[in-house]
Amino acid sequence: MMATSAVDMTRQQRWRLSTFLDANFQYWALAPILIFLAVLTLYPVGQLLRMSVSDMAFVKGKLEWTYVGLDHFQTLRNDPVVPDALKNTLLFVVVVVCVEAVLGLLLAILVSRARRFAWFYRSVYMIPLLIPPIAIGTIWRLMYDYNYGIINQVLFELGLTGPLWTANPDLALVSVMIVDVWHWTSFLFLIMLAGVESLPYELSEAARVDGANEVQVYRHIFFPLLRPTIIVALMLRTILAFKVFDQIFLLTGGGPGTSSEVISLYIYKVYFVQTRLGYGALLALLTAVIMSVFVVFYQWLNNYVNRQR
Amino acid sequence: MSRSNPKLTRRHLLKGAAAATGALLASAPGVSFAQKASTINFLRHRAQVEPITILINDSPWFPGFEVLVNNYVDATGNDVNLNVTPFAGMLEKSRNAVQGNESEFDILNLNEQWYMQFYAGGLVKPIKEIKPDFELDPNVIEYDSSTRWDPNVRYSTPDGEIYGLPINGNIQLFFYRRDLFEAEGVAVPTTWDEVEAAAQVFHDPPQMHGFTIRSKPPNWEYQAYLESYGTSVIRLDVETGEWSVGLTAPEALEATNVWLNLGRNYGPANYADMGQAENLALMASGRLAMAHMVGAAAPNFDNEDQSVVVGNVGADVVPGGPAGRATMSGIWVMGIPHNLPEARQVAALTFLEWALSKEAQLDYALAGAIPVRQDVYEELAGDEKLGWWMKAMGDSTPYIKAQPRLAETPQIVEVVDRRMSQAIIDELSPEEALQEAAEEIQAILEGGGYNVTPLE
Amino acid sequence: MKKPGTWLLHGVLMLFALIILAPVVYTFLTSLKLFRDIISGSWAFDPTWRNYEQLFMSNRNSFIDLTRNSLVVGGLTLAVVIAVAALGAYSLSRFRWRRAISGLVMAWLLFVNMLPPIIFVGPFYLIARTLDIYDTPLAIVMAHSILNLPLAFWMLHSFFADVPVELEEAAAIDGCSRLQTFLRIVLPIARPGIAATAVLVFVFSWKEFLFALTLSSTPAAMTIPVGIAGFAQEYNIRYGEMAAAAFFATIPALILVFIAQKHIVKGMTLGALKG
Repeated sequence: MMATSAVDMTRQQRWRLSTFLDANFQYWALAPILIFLAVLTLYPVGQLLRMSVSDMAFVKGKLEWTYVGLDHFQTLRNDPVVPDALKNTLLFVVVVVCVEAVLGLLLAILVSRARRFAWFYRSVYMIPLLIPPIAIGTIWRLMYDYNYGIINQVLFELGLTGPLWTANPDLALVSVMIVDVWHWTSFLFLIMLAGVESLPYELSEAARVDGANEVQVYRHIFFPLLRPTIIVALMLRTILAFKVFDQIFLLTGGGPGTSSEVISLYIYKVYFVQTRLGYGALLALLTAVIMSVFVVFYQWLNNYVNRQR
Repeated sequence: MSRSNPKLTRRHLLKGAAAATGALLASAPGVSFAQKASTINFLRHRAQVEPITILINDSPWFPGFEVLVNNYVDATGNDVNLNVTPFAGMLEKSRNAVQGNESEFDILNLNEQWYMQFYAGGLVKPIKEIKPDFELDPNVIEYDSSTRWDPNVRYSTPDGEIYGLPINGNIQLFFYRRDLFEAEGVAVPTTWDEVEAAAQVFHDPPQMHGFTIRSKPPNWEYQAYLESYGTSVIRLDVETGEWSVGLTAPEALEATNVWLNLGRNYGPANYADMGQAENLALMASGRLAMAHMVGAAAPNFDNEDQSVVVGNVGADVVPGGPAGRATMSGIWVMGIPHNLPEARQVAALTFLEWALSKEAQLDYALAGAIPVRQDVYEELAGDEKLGWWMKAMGDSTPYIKAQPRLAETPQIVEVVDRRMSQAIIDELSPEEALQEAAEEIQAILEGGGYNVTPLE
Repeated sequence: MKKPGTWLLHGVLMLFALIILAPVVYTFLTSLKLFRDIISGSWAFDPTWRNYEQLFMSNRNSFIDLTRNSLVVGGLTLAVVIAVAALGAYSLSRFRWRRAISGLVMAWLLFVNMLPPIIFVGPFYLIARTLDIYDTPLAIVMAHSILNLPLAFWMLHSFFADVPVELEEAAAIDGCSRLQTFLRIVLPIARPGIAATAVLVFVFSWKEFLFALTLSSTPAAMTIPVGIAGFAQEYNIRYGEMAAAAFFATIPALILVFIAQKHIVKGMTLGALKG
């Protein structure tokens, strides 16, 4: 990229410039992402921090800020929805991330072993990720419908009485989880597949020659190599699962009651629908703190396993 | 939008003033106007006001609105650009527009659930500040003062200034299967008790359900029950300026029990998860005898592609209780953003005044939209195609009630939705649900600095 | 041993493929139905193309335009994010940085990713108006870039960490500059990871709704998810058209994924590189 812009430089200058660039490669390589972050995130995040200790209202078309200190914590203490929403969120995140991780890894290993039709599986397994969430939510709600949905129609043909799905408070969150697993297993599958495909198979052959069986090869050779990828994948997926929005919004809206209310949906209601910007900002920050606990846990797990070896 | 609308596009050529073009481009960057030159219409009209851009949602009544706009463009030569947005994005876009230096839209289409926030914050301009001698035609329905805002009491009252003008007169209607009622010789119910009696006649699940309530989310229709028993979620005493929460009144409990009884016993098994779309589908697929739902659903029942009960659905005013009948307003109003130069505000009001005229509203209604004039309803009551529900709409006008219309409304509505949903699934008894809701709403009002009567 | 094992393998993989495809097939069937057939609760229906006609023939948002915009936005986002994230991730994973600096960058990326997207809507709208890119694909690319940078950065960081350092040292001895080493040695080895990251970035941009909505205003910049959302109306969902749109929208993305997926297979082996 430098060569074209330096056409009329002398050889000498060019040489010096490229040496300079090469010596400082690490700095200019990191610069673009720092610029992106500075321009596009500092202002919104700063705004969010300020909001979390303020009240805002439009007065005669102008947004007016009032500093309220820690008042929003008081609101939080009296909020009857947050405990339910947090409980559902944690349950949702733990269940879907575990199920999807196991399925994703299993499918990645199986696909990597399939010689024929691997292209077919790799493509098909990606499809759920390609469909816009608004359509996923709508179509699944249609499929779940008690009166005309295809799921209960199929169960009926099999001689079974279908459950109420999203209308049953005990099943609403499960219904949402089913859709989530269908939708997001692809994500972990893809990352794990990239990891599995980068594995050095020469090592496994050497191990097999030494008499290791298939499970041992995976357990003692592949899994340790895959661990960094798995940790990053789990971390990213956990964050995404905390932010689950469209599919719950469309499938259940958080109901019936608060049986499928999750924190991201509630933040949307508070921050956006009710324009309680300050309290909403506080909830957003608190949720980020909770997610950080998961992230720290994954990093700790990574180091712990590392030390054990 | 105007790019894909031949009539509007042609119009753009009419404007001689380069300044007008500049303003239009500035207001809607990214759209190239006046690409296909044609001078055929050059002499017919000349634009008198600046071109305007309207933020409008994609909806079943959008084709009617499109006709209205085309007629306006033809009649006046003024230019209109439509920004058609999914319903899910209307609030985002409206909020963004009023926060910049200059709004990209000249007219915002605001929903019943959120226009009070725009009134309260001064985000839309009072009409009299644009046109001091503005008078609202008495035939235009105001939907229990939805058009007005009184900054002193921070509420929509008849004494308030006009901030927005109604454009879509959506209210609730009572729909019933006329063919079944006639076959069984059952009279159309006018009270909830009669609804139950009729539901007993028809209820035969899963092929036929007597009646449904809406439970996802419940608040809008539920409030009509409260009103019909003589109470409401909150109420303002205009004399004293004092607010009170009406959910702890004994009438509220009666209303809630009636509502729960009808929904649980005469609805489908998934009564706890019935949204508007599900209720509409149940009626349109011929498995529902009666429904209390949004009036705008009527054209769907008459559409061969959507319904198997074409011609068999009747409509009437929503049945009532001891305190009479009530239908809740769920309309759209059009507001003019505060952050616009005067010339654009004048242009926007010019359009709105024209759009509310009787002739304009007649064509609007015939093209599938929901008018906002009483004389139009009365005239269309005898219409062969639309009369069956236009008459019910016109008859409902005296019973129109407002939902809470405070800046805090979305918060109050969230409480009602959550608590009533918990009552439906029996997580809370009706008494508990009402008590919890009342306490939360009381706290919201107190937190908002309103003068509130203590709970009993 | 080999035969039954292969059969079992394909049996399991096929079963999962069927589970994944069932809702997609249902979506396609729904797209061929009129509303009254969708809600009838019976199996029988007369197929119709009317929903697809609505997508392309109606005088409203033409899905041809929206598809073009989605491809432009997705493609540009992919290019920007992969270039920016790959350079940055390589720099952090391979060069000596103070822990405070590298930790801060990595943590800040995660933190930004943890915040609900809705809080960025207002600021990004104002930034787009200020930069005068509102209602152009560029504005949406800007938002999608920042949304996807954390994911891409972290993924690439982990994939680069797996590249053996010896290879880079060998390249340096051979006289490669650092940029050359990165482009010619590291990128090819990390190819499966980069391909997987690229697929995710593109796909997330392809289906993103909130920013595509708030940063566009006309069909000049609107993307497919915004068009699809138009079918979810205030009280009525136009299931048939939505299914048609969802099904149609999946096809271009699927073609691209199909092209990309073969790069997710085994990168160059260690031995091959040395030569």
